[in-house]
Amino acid sequence: MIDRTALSDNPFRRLNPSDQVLLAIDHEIRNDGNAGSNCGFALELEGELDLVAFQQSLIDLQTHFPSLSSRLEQRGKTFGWQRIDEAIPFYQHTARGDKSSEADDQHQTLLSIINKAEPIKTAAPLDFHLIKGSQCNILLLRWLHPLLDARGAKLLFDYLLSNNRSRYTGKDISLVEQRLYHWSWWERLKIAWLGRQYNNQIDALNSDLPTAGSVGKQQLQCINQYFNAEQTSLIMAKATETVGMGYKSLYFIGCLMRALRTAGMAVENDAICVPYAFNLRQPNAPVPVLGNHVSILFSQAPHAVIDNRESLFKHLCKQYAQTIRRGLDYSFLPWMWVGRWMSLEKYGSILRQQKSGGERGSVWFSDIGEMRFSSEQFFGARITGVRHLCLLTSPPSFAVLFGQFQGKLSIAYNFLQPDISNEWVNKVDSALQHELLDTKDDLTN
Amino acid sequence: MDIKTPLRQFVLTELVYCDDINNFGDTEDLLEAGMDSMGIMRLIMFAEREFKVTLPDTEVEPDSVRSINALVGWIEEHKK
Repeated sequence: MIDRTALSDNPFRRLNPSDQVLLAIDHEIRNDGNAGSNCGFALELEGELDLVAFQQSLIDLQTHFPSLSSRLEQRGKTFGWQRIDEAIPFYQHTARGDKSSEADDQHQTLLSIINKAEPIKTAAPLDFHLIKGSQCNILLLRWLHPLLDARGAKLLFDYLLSNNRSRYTGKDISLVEQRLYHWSWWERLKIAWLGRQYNNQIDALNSDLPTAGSVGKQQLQCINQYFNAEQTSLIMAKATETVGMGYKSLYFIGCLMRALRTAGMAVENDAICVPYAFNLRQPNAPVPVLGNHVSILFSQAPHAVIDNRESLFKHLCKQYAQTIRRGLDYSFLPWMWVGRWMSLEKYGSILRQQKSGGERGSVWFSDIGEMRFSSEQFFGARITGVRHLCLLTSPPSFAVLFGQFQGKLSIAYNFLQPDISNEWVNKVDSALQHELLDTKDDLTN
Repeated sequence: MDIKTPLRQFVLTELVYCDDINNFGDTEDLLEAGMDSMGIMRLIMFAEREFKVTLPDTEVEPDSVRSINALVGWIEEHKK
């Protein structure tokens, strides 16, 4: 039976199984002493934003999606968003300094917003920030990850830009639950068993980590790398040539694994393991907007395989094809359903830790893909770029987010300091550029 | 065996979104409509399971997966 509290006319919207995964991760991040699973999606804007029209649109946004104005509430073992019907917060900041230091000040402001700690039960799950500068304005959407996933955040911008806002109505249900309820109990058990096998298979090799992890407060830092159109088209051609059309994300993952080996990992075990989200939404679908609708996949390779570029990509493609053929891409859904009844502490440790006790994920990864908006204009200003930010657990303390905008590839390195240093990230970046453009010799040579 | 009907149903309910399934043409560009690399792999697995064919990864090219008609042609090629 599908959760009826997910329908938008109910003032209490229960977290779906995928939201609960992100709530457990939020709990883990806070336990590490950090601000929680704050995420950011920012538009770089050239020209003045029409503030009157934008603020009017925020009122409309909240009317259309009332649970954007809510607080996290716990009822027994159930967590959900309780509507409070207040305006969506919108803050304005002005960058300081002269033209040369202004961009840096905007960047620091962005980071301070994401690093700001507030108790989850009193924090607004979503707000907007305009960081004004003389060269460029940055409009940041900051949200708590249990509220919605990155695809949903993009859809909120699409909604604000849309001339047909009624498209973003309906299907306000969990795609994870929809799929789960499509299966019989017997099928769910069979799929859960596959999930356990998948997990055991991943845990057979202990993961390398870029940091051993430290106790105490960390600060999120972010370095953005942009490729020009020519470099991007070269990288995409290399990806197609190396892994074929069906596996483009694996090209990024493989190159990242090799770059991490080149830069050196603080904790070397058996393999590099890269978990990544698999979104159950249909690409380009306007709904559902709210909630998380993701399951998890893993790419994993032992050192000897990573060290040979050709064998690495063959291994990753084969591993991925086997994962899909065996139906392992859905195999964690029944476990996510069970997870809703676990304590956040227990659930968090299961999500993160291998059977040996080490952290499962060597690095967080996302391939956001090509970001397209219906218009280049956003309330009178021209969209010139996008940025992605996410706070994460320590370890691994390091997330690499790939995206494309206006035909140009970008990489956002999100990392926790002091766990990870700028110097190490620069080493990874340099090696990754070589790997993506295929200008580096085999590691074994 | 009718390939197009179940293939259309799978592609337009799982892999790409369109406001009206009935209005989505068999020659419309699926890559433009949002089919991504994960979608392509999912499609291959679906075709192999439903139509009992083997579609080699090496043949995954834009021309093979560009439209519903192209997909039907690719699958039929391997059913011979």
